[in-house]
Amino acid sequence: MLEVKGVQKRYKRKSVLKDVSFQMKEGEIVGLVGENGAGKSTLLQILATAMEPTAGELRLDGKWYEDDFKQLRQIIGYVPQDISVWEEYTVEENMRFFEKLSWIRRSPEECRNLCLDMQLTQWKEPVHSLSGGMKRKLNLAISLLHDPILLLLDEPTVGIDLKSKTEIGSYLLNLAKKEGKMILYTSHDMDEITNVCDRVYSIGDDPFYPTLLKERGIEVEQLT
Amino acid sequence: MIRMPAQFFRLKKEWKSVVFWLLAPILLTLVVMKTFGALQEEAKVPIVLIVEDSSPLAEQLALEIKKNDMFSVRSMGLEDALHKLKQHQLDSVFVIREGYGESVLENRRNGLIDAYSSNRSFAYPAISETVMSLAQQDLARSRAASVIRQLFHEYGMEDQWNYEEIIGRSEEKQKKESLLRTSFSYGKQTGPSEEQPIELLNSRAVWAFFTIISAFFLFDWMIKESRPSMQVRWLYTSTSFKSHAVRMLGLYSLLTVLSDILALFVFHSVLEETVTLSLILPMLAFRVTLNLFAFLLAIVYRQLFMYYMTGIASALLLTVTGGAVVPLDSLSRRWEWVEVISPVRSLMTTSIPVAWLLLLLVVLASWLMKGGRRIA
Repeated sequence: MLEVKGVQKRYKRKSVLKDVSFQMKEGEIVGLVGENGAGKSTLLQILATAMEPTAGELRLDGKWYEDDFKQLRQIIGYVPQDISVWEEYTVEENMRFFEKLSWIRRSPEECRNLCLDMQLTQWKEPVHSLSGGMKRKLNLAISLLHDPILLLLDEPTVGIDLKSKTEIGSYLLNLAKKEGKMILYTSHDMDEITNVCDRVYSIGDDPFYPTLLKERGIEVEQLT
Repeated sequence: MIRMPAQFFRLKKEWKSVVFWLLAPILLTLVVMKTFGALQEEAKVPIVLIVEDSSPLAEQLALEIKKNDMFSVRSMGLEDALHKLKQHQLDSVFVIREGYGESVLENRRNGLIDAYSSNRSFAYPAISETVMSLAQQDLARSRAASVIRQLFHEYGMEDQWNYEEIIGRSEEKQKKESLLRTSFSYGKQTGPSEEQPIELLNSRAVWAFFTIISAFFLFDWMIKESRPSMQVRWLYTSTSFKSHAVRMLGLYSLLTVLSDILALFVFHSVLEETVTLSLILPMLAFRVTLNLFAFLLAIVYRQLFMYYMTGIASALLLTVTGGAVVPLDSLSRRWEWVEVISPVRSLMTTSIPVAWLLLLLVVLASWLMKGGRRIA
């Protein structure tokens, strides 16, 4: 379970997150929407232990972020908005490189199956020759190598075709429903949010996204 | 099954480039030294020496002429030599005539050596002067020997020296008390130092120059692996980026040390360089210093091009300030800190660049200890 209570983040005089509190359970996919600069990426980075909050309490699987952030990294998977893969390596080399640095040992077959599960079939292809969609899939596959229980995705499908979006969406649904992973997901694509997420949080003051989702019959909870 | 560590991935991927940059300094040093040697040979004055006399004195004179660094002495028949002289392929032709040894011993000075030159024999006056002075030397020794033997005879002394003994003693004296000698006297030395030949191009300096450049091309992995978009990945790995980088530094240092051992072997075999323990240790220290320097600079840079340019600029700067191009002896006598300004200087003087090593190790330690809890 993920518990977030009264999280604040300030950059000098600018307050990005005022008082964010929410909870997530195993097997849930939660969407996070909001205009650019509302604080979605900041919240994700705090949850990913990549950034410290100014105030607030966070607890994952019974462990406090303040005390155990290094141990927590072993059960958190973070998919950054930028594609963080070695462009000069092949898909196989990327997977095997990060597998060697992972806390969990996986055989080459297991690594390959992880890619095949999300329809990433170009195992021997260098990354620079892959399409944007395939790169995004690899970006996600690497984050799953250490079998995290919380998966944080920062706009994982931005700039890719509908087919790849659908494949990634199906894969995430499978991860949550069959393997019980908690998935927190930011996106500007309302179709994707509608199709994939169980619940949706909105961040920021702009009513645009909550209104849009309400029109589609989806309840949106407001985070500040 | 042995698992390949993550540090070997880039090496496996870029092995061709790594091998190239490991071997490039050795090969380029050989090319430069061999080319320079060939150019020096080309710059020598071509002459032909024909020895008609078979006496030891004639052979000795021929040997002395051939030993001269300024001449390229060839052997051929007189007819061929004169033909080449007419075609201006030779500067001049010298013939040590039949009976040279006998004439010298009998102190006859006429017609000992024939010389031929053309209207384009620009070096002829200097060469003929040198050849004449060597012949004069033989004559003077021979004259001195006959006078000494005559004096022994006149004064009826029992202990008589033969001709060879007198000549041998004369040569020994000449070597001991050189007529013309260039001596250097250093600040802390009381007497003049041993005379050293002045080298125009030192193979160690050439190797150091190319090695500095190659080190930057070898350690570019640090910029590739530390690119900002990849930093977030290192939060979710069992090994931190810094430990990974230090292991990579160790791996590449091992490879460079192996290439240095190969360099010593090649320079010894091809360039006839002397390899001693007093050279191996400074070379190893130079290598460690250089690797740390390239590694730590890579932390600062983000762009490969700028990093490579810095490598080339550093190679030029460190080689010049290390005294590889212009001798720094007079400067270092005045300011002692000149000695530590470049690690190349330490390599040239076969010493350990202690100041550089300490400074770089301190910077490395502070980099390893620095760092917040989170990356953003």
